[in-house]
Amino acid sequence: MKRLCKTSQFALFALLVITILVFGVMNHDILSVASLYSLARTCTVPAIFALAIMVVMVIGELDMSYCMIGAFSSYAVFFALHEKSITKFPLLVIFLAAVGISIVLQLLNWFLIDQLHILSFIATLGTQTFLKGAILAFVGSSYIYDIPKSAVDFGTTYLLSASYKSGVATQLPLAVIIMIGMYVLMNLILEHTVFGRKLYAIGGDPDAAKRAGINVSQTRLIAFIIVGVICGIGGVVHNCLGRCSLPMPTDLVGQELNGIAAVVLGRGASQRAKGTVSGTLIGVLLLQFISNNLIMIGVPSYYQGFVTGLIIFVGLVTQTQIGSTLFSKILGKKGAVQ
Amino acid sequence: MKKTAVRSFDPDVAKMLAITIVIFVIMVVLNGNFAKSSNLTSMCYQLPELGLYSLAMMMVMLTGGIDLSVVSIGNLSAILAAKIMKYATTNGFSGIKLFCFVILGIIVALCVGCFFGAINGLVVSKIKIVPMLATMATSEIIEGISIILTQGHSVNGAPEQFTRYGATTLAAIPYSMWILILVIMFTAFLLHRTRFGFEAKMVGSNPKASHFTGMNTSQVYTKAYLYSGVVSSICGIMILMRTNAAKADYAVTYVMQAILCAVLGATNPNGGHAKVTCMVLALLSLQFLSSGFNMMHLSSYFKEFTWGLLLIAVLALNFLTDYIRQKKGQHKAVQTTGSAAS
Repeated sequence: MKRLCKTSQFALFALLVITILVFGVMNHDILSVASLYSLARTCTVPAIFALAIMVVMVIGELDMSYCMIGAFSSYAVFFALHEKSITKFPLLVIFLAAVGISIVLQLLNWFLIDQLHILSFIATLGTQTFLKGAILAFVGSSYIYDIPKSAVDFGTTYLLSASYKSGVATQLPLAVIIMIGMYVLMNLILEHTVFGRKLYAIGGDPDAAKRAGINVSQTRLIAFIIVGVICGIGGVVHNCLGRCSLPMPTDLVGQELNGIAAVVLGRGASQRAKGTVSGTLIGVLLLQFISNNLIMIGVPSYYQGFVTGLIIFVGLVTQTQIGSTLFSKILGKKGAVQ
Repeated sequence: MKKTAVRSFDPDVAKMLAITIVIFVIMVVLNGNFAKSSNLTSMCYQLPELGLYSLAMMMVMLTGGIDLSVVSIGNLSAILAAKIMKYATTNGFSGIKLFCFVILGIIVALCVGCFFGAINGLVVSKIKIVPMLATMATSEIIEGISIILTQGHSVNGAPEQFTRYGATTLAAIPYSMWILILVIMFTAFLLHRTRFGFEAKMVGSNPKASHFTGMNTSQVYTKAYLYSGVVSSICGIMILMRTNAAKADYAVTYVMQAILCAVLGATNPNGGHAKVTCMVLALLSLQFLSSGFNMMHLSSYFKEFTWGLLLIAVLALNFLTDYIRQKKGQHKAVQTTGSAAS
């Protein structure tokens, strides 16, 4: 227990628990199983995309195009199926095709960042703008509602369901399993393999990593391929859950900063790691929980942006030197800042 | 302006000038009406908004930061100004009283810009949060305040005596364009002729070294963000003047476009390097592209596609020229003599 308290994610986890309890006192429905399922459902897609940006942030880069790449690859696949008017198609092939496209697009990012040494934020901003224009101008701009049956089935298969006291039912979709599986796998890769340690080493200092004998360029390449895989899966899951495919989903594209915010919140007070898997998950949960349930405790929905901003801001302040000194003074801990 | 002769041979300016001219010529060839005065005037109406946001972004980027809150600051100032002016019009004020209220609205808007600019600056320089994340959070908060104030609706009803200036011209140039020209001139003066401009460049290229030479780096950061906030609120007032509407989420894509424009205009995103001339050229070339495609009845998506492509292409070109220069063994110092103007 003591070791658990010392991990950098503990503060965030405590914040999440406190928020849930405070919200729960105000509206008892929030503490129900139904609310949990609804949270899991809304979290699935943001959590997958947050995982993608986390890998990029671990190697010390930033990506503004990850959501667009996910949306692009998924829409391209569904558009091709729609054009050929195929309604029966194995889900696995859809996933593989989308993953393939998004890997290619992430390799473009890798080329710009690693080979041409363009600042990652700017380069991926370029790819985002470029892809956004490309998909709408050349591929298609209409919503696709007749996506293959296998995809619809995947989106509407529910593991469990529960209902609020008012009788509104919520379900736990199958896609949650994919999300959790990806988090477990990523945690294994990042925390328990040499490759994962290499990623953190590069994120800490690329030059030092190079001198330690790490092939920086190659490791980054693999990292970007992983990001591509996550983006592709995320895009398809998003479309399956929504049961339609759209070229520019506004809940993804333009919301890149929310993913970054989740990672930043999740890395906790220690700035040493640029992102952790467990922290990212808690960050996503916190942000989604607040935006989900603010309206349930009677706060008008237009306060949502303000509150989210405030939470991100407080999270950022607690991570800085000044903030963590203040934080530990309040808690009365000694030597918490190191 | 004794440096002008040297600066006009600057490789960055030369490259950007070439790109702008090439785009202009292509557009003139593709549509006959492109070089007509009516089109040029309509471009002058569209240009200033992006121009002002890009200038705000450029100044912050010069110090090695980034300001993602420009558009939200602009919108919040516009909303407050619109609310004050609406109060005046609904109460039927006229004459000097109305004038006072319009001035009050503008002053309040500028104060909003100052306030949030200063907050951004202090957060970045004193609390030492990474600029990108800090301004991202403040932008979310500011946009949240705007949404709370307006409940998501747009605020209109500014007096006609004020909005008239958004649609009229002075000496064949729209008033909004005059504002942009003034701000550009002021920025150029600030960058090249004042102590602040010099310090901003130094802090941007090496914060630690500037700190050790005795500069008050946190003051420089604060000033840069302050400038960005004020210019953003000027832009907000201008948008209100032109559209007679202020909305919490008006033109949020301008943030990305402003970054694009600033980076195209030879601003080093790592800090320490910015050129107003280059940025103006970049602004013009982006506007030429978007107007030209508009006249060819291509969708605005196509415009976005080319903008992204242009950004990547210019950055790749920068890399290649740097690479070739390094291969030749030329040092960066040689650039300024103008020998490498190719």
